[in-house]
Amino acid sequence: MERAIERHTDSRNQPGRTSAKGRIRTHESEMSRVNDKDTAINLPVLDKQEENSGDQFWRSYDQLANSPRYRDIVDHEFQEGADTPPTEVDRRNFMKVMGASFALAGISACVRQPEEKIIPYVKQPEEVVPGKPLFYATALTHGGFANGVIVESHEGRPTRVDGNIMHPANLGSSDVFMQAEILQLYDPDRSKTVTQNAAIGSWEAFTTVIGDQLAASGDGKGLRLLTGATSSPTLIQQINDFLAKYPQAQWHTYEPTPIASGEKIAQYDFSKADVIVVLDCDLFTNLPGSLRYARDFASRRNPETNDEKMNRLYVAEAAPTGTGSIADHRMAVRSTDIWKIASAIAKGVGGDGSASGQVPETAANTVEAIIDDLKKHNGKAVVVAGETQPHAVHKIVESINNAIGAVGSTVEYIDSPLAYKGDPFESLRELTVDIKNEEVETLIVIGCNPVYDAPVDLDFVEAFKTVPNRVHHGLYHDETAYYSQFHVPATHPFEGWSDGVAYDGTVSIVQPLIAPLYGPCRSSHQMIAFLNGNSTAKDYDLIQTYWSDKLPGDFEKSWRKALHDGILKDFSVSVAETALPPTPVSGETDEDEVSTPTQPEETESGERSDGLPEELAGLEVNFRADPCIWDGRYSNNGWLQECPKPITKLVWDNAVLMSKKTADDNSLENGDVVELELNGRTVQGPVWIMPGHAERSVTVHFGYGRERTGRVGKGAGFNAYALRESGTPWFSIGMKLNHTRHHHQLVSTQDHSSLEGRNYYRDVQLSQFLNNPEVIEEMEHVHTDKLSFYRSSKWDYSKGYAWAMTIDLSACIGCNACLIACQSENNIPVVGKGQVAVGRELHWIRIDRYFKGDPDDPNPPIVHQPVPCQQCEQAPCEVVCPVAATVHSAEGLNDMVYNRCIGTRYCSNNCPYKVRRFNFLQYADEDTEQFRLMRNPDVSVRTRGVMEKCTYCVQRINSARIKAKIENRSIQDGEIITACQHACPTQAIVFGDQNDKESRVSKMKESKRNYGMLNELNTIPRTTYLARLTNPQESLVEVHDHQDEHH
Amino acid sequence: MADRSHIKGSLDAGSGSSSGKLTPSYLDPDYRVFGDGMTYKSVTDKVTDIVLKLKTSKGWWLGFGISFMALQVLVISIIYLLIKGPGIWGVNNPSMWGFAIINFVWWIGIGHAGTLISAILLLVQQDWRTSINRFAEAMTVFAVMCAGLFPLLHVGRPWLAYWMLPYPSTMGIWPQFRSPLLWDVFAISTYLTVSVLFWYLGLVPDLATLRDRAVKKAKKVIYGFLALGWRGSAKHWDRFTTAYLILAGLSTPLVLSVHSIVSLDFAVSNLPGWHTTIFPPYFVAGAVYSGFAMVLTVMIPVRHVFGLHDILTLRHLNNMSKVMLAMGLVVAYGYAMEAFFAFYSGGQYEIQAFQNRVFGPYGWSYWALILCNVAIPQLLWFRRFRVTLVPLWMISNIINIGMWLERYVIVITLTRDFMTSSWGYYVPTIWDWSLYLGTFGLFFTCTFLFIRFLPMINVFEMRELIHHVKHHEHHDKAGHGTEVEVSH
Repeated sequence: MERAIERHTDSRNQPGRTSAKGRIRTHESEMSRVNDKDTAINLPVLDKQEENSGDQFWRSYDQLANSPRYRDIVDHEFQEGADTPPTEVDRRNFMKVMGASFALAGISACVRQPEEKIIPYVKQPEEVVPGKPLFYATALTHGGFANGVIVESHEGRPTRVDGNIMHPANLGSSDVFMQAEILQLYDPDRSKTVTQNAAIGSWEAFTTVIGDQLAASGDGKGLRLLTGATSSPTLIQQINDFLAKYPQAQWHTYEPTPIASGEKIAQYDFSKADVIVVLDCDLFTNLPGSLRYARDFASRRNPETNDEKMNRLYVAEAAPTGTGSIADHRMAVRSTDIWKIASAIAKGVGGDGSASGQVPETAANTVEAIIDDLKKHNGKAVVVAGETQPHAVHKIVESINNAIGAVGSTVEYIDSPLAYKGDPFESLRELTVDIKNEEVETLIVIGCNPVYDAPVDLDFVEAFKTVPNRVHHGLYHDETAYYSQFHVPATHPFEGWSDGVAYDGTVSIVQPLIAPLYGPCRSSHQMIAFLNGNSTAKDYDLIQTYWSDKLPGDFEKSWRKALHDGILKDFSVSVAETALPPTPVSGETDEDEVSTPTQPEETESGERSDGLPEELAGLEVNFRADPCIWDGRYSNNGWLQECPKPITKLVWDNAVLMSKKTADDNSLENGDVVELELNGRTVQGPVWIMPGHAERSVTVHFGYGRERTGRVGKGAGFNAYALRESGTPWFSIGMKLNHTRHHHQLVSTQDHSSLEGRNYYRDVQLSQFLNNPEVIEEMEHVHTDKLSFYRSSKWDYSKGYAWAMTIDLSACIGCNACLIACQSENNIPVVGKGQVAVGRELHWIRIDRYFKGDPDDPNPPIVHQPVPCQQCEQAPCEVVCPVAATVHSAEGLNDMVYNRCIGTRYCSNNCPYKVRRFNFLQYADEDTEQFRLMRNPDVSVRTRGVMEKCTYCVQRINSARIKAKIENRSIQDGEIITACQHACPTQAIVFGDQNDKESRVSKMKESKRNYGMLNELNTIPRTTYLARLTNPQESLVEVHDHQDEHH
Repeated sequence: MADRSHIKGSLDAGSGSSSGKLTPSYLDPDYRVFGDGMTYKSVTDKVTDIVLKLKTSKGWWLGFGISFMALQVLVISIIYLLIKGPGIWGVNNPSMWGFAIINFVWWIGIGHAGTLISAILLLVQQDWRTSINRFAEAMTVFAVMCAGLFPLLHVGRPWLAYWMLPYPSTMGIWPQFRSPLLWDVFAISTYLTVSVLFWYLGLVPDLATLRDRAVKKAKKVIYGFLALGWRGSAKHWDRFTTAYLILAGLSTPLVLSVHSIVSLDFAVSNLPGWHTTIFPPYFVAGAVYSGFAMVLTVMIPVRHVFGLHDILTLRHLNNMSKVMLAMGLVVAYGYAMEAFFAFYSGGQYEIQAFQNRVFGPYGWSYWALILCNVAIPQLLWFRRFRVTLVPLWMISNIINIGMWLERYVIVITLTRDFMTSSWGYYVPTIWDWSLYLGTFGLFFTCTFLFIRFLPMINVFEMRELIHHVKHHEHHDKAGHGTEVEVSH
């Protein structure tokens, strides 16, 4: 604890640093004043000469008279000490006199260096060795659910986020959002000041004004609190205290794209599941525990370690997702048809199949196969329904899981750790109704942005404007802040103390990595504490007070351990107890979930659409959280804006996704701007044709079209919330597409999605592989004998380390975690939409996405292939560089010497894998102060005109090497984890020393699935791939064979 | 002095194809290497007057003015490039090379005519070259200057381009000798040095003539300085001729080596569509092809403006057209071989690269190239197209465009190589075009200054030629009788 506090106080001193700078500056200016006068020494001597030299000329009467005043001036023309001969030099005077000279010496240097102040630690913090990073465990929440993270800190600056290996929700892996939080922290566009009526205000003014309101409200009448989804036990406790203090006050929560809701949430165990059926759910990104699920799922995808067995994944969804792309069978069906599939399955396996409907024709065979498979794998199968499906579907799925013996084995329904357990949109609806009834006097919005993202039918914006007192607390001065009288900037999760609960009930303490970058920032805990009457509370005290009586054993010990581990181990308080439900806003909500408006409408509309001709039924529109910027909260995050969406590969935009047929039927092409009309409301957005999208259905993503955001998110995309209704939050039917004559440039990082029959992506079916393990090898076009001009002089790589990597294509779900991890680790700049449009993105690892088979197939298989530098032993890039800026290391790394690079770009031309990236312009922002803090000090920042590429995280290799050398041993397997490898949720990436026959990477390379890309070029790549295996159901294999023929 | 006895034979050979009559070729009006009534004096007057006496024409001012403005475009383009970086161009990730390399190869090719005419034709004693060699050499120098700019500006950090030179650096590191770009550095710097020397050496006797004929003091001094004290003594001539022949000998392999090495920039790489052994010979042929085309493009108007019909005769045009035709056929063979080997290799990537080149998104450029470089130049089989000025000028322009397209087609092969996921497009920006336009400014500014201040026709060699022809005339008069009058 001591350590943590000390670090905390230390980092709290940061504002103090600036004042220290200030002091130095004043001191300097004093010095320079001294310098100006300090021109000669030994003046009394000169003075005497003047007296004795010929005719006397006099300057003044004082001089003529040689008055004492004159003598005094002459003697003391210079500052005391400056003109005294250095006869009696004491240390103090010496320093005084020479100080000026020292300063002058500095000034005289001819090149103007950037001003850099070095300030030593007045008190050396414990454990800090300058230049050595420290790692702290904390947690980040997504949709209210915590994931454990380890943050790398360099001299008090957090620079990088990775998953916490001890945390059960992610086991060390991370997703794009976790990775990008570091940029979020340093975002220069974050809100920095309290604002009051659009002018700069102060926390004091805020507490005075709102404090009066609180006092005036008496028992809290008209007082409302609106927060996002939260599982923080302390926050929930604080709010309950608040509600106890103001009994009339009410608490509402609103999360635009919740990832779980309801009293119970499903907790899956995919490590036990042989058959997984997913109904409209992006299993690996959109669930609490997604990262864990991805890990468990992938652990069952490798038959070589699982007795020649693999699990089987069936997915039914409208727009393709990462989950759909890794599925063995993917059904492209409209979201409105999902319930029919669910009912059919239920009927088949003996669950609640009372609802009935015609299963879409394209899915009929697959549904038969699913029923067959589920029956065969009783107790080892599971069906998952997405949060996007109505409650009724969840009920059916629950009945299926009961029928197939999944409950208790592969799925458990546990109490939700979230504070609010009702229908996710009900609470906001209640609030809006109350506002309209003028029952709300003061509304305090904490950590959410309903003005932007509230369902449009609630008409929240207009209602919000009528609330007499509006307060917003958030990371950005966003839309809600704009319409509020008070805005209080929020601290980033890395700037304060908090806590959170994971999908399985694991509790983590959130500890700060740095003092708030901007003074006026307050945490949500502090906001609530203020409402509870303490405007100067520290979140550290709040969190510790909460946990003080709950931790087992000695508090200090448990607390320190909890902070160290990032999780509260052996914590016996059950989830249900920690997560205190709010006072229900309306009595019915909880019991009456089934009758929430979502469900019957969906069923009705679904059924109705069957009977009616297609034209009349209209199109289906799906609303989804964006895979990169989520609900809009990351819209000002450049890394995420420029992160290619997993399937579309679009950047900086959202689009109206639709199938080729739907687009053709409406004579639309990519980039055509259409007007979506739903229930009289319209929004305009560009079309993107998405192979594999369900017919008569379109998908739009949230998060774009922000009106109040920073410089990065400004002007990107269109606002899909403008069509969303609270009753049908995820999909709706009856949408019309109207043409406009406009065109919008959509930018994708991958223009060509066909393999053109090339063999560098390889996949086979499990049965084929088992019949003939050489099948992957046989796909080689040409078998070369590794002929080479340079062969004779080839370096012997068999000694020492030989770094190598394998990437398991069976496991890759295309989630982009590796890409953002790499961007963060290697200081890769963001280049902007315009530059990506001309193909200048800088990502060192890219994830290629290909559609396989017949181009006219409405549901083509989608595959992902991450491509970092292949680190060829015979690297074609090296021989063509005229200045030897890219050379080979003894350990087989293809090194890039930035300093030496003159930018001929020949290396990139000659790289068959096209993994080299060039700084065509000055992309790295070297001026923004915050970004300087953010960068990894172990990786150079590249300037314009320089080539760069993946280095296998050579800085990590070297730091491991130093450590090993100090300890006089060799580097152990697993000691070096590359950034991409660490982030990967499915552990598809393995890195290590291939000379070590026991290393994981060597084992992987022995696999019969192992192959190198473009082997025939004799580049001998160190990065190799494990071919993807699919495990289709026997009864459906023929269909796939048929598809493969085309390819 | 070089032995000139060959001249008869060569002229006779030329005449055989044109008419059944066995007339000595120099007597046939179309095949004379200079016109009627040319004497030592008239040829000297004609050439030196352009420099010394004639009033600077309005046409010159106009041409120079336009060229000089284009030169400013070059300056602006370079400044902006240095401020912003190569990102102002259309280069991108699959197509890391673009206009800079296309234009570099193109300009280098243009330069080849000069060296070929001066050196190789000198060595094989084709005397018809005499009246065009000076001009072609000057063009070589200017074109290489333009070409040299591009690789320098192409690099990401031009201020460090000197790292490509093998100098004893404190960094203790040599350039990387396996890289064809380094070979380029040597090839081009050698080429430029030898071309400048050759051109200047050939100028010395004429500079002396100018010095002697100049009236104004300043001109006397400047030309005198440049003439290096040439007095025309027998010893001077002897040494001059030796040196000139040695330089010609040195230049000859350069004609072949420079473009071969430039072609290796492509051929050495492993890219489908680049990695091919046919490149060196077909690049050299292409270079000569475009060089001759450029010489014609520039000389036909100059001939007209300065009334040089007597010196630049139809024979010159005819011969140059024939060289072009021959080179065009070599180039066409190169194209055919590229196609053949793509399929003969059986390599999937090679085949697809060729298919992309021909039918891909940039297929138009391939077909335009075939039209410009293969189809249209076949007109040169017809004598009428070889000796009629306007069509010939148009054809030579078309060949210039075609040869540019050839480099374009080759460079944009980059847009589609091994990884389909990285396939992209290349679209040049305004700055690509402005830099290209700017080098025309540099080229023509230099050309206009050259026309104005230096003798654009080799005077002493012309005089020499007249002497020889006159000598033959006396011999021939006995047998045939002739209408030609060569006044003294």
